[in-house]
Amino acid sequence: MLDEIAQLDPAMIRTLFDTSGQFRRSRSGGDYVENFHTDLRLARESGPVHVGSVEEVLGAVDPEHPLPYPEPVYSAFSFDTVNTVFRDPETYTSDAMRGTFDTFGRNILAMGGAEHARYRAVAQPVFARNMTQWWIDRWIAGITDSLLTRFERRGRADLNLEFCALLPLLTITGSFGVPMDEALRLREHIEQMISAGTERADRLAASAAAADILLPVIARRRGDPRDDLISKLISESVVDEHGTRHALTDDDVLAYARLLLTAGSGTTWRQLGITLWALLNNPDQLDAVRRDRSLVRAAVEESLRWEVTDPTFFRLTAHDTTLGGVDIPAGSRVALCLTAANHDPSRWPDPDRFDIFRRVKPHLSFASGPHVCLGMHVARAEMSVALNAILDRLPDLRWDPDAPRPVLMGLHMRAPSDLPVVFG
Amino acid sequence: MTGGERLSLSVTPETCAGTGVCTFYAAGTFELDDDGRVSIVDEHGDPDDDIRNAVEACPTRSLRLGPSGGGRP
Repeated sequence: MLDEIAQLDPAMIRTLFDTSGQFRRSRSGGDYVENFHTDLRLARESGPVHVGSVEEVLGAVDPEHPLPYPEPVYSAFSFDTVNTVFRDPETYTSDAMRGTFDTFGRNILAMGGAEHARYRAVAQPVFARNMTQWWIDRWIAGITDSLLTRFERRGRADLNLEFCALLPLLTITGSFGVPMDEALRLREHIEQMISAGTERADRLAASAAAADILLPVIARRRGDPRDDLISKLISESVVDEHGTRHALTDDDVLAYARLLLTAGSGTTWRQLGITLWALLNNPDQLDAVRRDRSLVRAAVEESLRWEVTDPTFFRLTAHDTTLGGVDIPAGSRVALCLTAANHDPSRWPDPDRFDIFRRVKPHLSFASGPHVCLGMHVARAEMSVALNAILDRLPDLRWDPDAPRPVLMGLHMRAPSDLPVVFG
Repeated sequence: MTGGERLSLSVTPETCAGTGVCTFYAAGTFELDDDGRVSIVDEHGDPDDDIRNAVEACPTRSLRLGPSGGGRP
């Protein structure tokens, strides 16, 4: 595997994953480097629900990219209102995500009710918590080991580009049977496919290009199944609305693949980076985790609570309703600010402080209700294995004193600008 | 918990979606069967706070904590 990783194009890795670079900034609202938590606190203190988008409420609308939503927009900032919306899918539907049908194919993100439950059940078993060891043994542990081997003797690294970016990408592409030399190209297509600033025709072309990589793998696995995610998906069946069981079609598998590749190769990369950034900025807490590995779990959970990498999700109202005292008409878009909800002082004292010793309470970083993140157990496993391995193999890990101290940036996607560290 | 009041735990496997949220918060208390439906392995298999977290976070509200002796809702 080391040889294959060595063949990955460093320039392409930098383009796709350098959070402070131009490509990423254009996709993540990356020029936003204000004090996010303070801005959110001020918004929440003036009311749990606001008229307007999160960008409008925070005064962070990019004049060159006005908001694309045709419908009225409201934003929720408190734990109770965000949790209420997630748990009432009949009032607040996932039709807000219908745009993904165009490019991903019909997928669970924007399905609702019984159809969502039927399709979610197809992939749930392989993402179950009792499958985490399978993910670790098949991909996570080996990739983690190889990535660390590449730089552990060097005494310094950019953990963002050399580690955080590659572990989730190679895990999810590996599980789909995509050869490593196509992993970055697939990630490039996925980026293009989901980019809001890209013309529809170009997004559809990127979706087709992703299919060109995936369809040959699907065909091979149909004839010769292996012990991987793609084979498991192919072997599954779905119950239709009449109660009849059907094998998944290639289109079903492709839609799932595009969704899982998108989620799997983006979110965990950035959340792992956030976890390391927060610990490196709190050396006493980093040291505590190093000495007592039972704290790894708490560190990951606190990172998830404290800085959600994708801080905003959307729902669409099916009928007139009232949320947090604000009347919302049918057909409105409701933006759910997960980070603001996770910093609700009625639930977490001193919420803006990163503190791995606080009592764990359920946060909303993986959403709640029926659409709760399918990949949450795999994401947690990747971050736990990674953090343990980093602490084992990079002794005395600390910021590189010769590099500028990185910042967390991005409005739609949060991540550290980079992670320059020294060790040993 | 002060330990004064015992709470009884009940589950509704019929509505369980098998997300495994409960097994993350309270792995000693809940497990999923071969069909991915929740069951209780040990009603006091974790500290009360962990069980409360699992009950609160269940995406389909398939877990319930009630006063002991109150019967199922």
